[in-house]
Amino acid sequence: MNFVLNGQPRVWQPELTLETLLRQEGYITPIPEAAQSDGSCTASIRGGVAVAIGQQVVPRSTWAQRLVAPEDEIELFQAIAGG
Amino acid sequence: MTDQSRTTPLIIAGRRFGSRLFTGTGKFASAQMMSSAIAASGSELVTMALRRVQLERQDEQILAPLTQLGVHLLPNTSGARTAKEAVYAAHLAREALGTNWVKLEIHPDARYLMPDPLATLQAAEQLVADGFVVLPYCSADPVLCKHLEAVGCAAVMPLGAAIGSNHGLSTREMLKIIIEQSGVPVVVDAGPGAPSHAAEAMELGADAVLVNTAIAIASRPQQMAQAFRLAVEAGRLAYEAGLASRRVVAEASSPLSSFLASLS
Repeated sequence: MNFVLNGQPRVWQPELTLETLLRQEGYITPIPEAAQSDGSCTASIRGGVAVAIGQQVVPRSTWAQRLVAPEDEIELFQAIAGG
Repeated sequence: MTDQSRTTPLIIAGRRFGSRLFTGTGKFASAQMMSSAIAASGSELVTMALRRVQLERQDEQILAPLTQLGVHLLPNTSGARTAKEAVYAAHLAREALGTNWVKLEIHPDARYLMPDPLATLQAAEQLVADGFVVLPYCSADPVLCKHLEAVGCAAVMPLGAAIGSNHGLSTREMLKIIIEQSGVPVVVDAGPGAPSHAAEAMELGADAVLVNTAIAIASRPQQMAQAFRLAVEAGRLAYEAGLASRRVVAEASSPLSSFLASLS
């Protein structure tokens, strides 16, 4: 069974959480203490990444609990330079 | 004695800005150049875009240097062609960057990148309801700007000219009306290709200017950023000082006395 990550098929494993997947893909890095100042700009947290499954944004607070299901279409987005 | 060289601070949605120059992060040759240019600009609000991750390649990290600069981030919805896409992009950006501020931009046509007024208004209303601080990039249309204000946008960002065109204020007369009528801050976004254009916008009474291309593609971005900083400050100072009005006929600056008459 497969799930899909940004268009690429991946072999599904039981017990795989979103957080584990993102860690494996290198998109979760430790949160620098200095980044959490007034809460208005928690910029460097986890490299500015957002995740959606089936076009529904998955809040970061639930990544550790959210199990990847077979057939899930996971989309990973990242903040980049822009005007 | 009060310091009269300081202009009044700008407040958007309760957040105070010392600098009236906002900058974009696109088109710089490197993250290092971007970082030094933004530092030189004095900008406290900096735009970013969002993109679907391309798994096979790594983009240069610009988030860490921006965090070090201590600037506030303003994610945009660039790439969205409809209101629905823009709302989705805004929600993703809020999750990615941990800010509820968003530069709403919807331009279905890549040639001129003109913002879609109907979709922008529709998405703005939705995003305000979803708890966002919405700063819409929009046409320099005074009626549209009032509509955007009415649905709860925290500012309006009318264009001076097409994105990246460096034309300056093609929409000058419309901008004057927008500034006169607006109950929210007016940020002139897109168009300024030279510091003089930015100064012109500020002299008209714009509350801020957002500049990206003109700084990013300069031979020396850091120096150009400083030039824009000075121009924005000068324009604002002039606006607050009260500009002299234009006249058709001359008015002498020196007394026109006839003490030379005796020479003839």
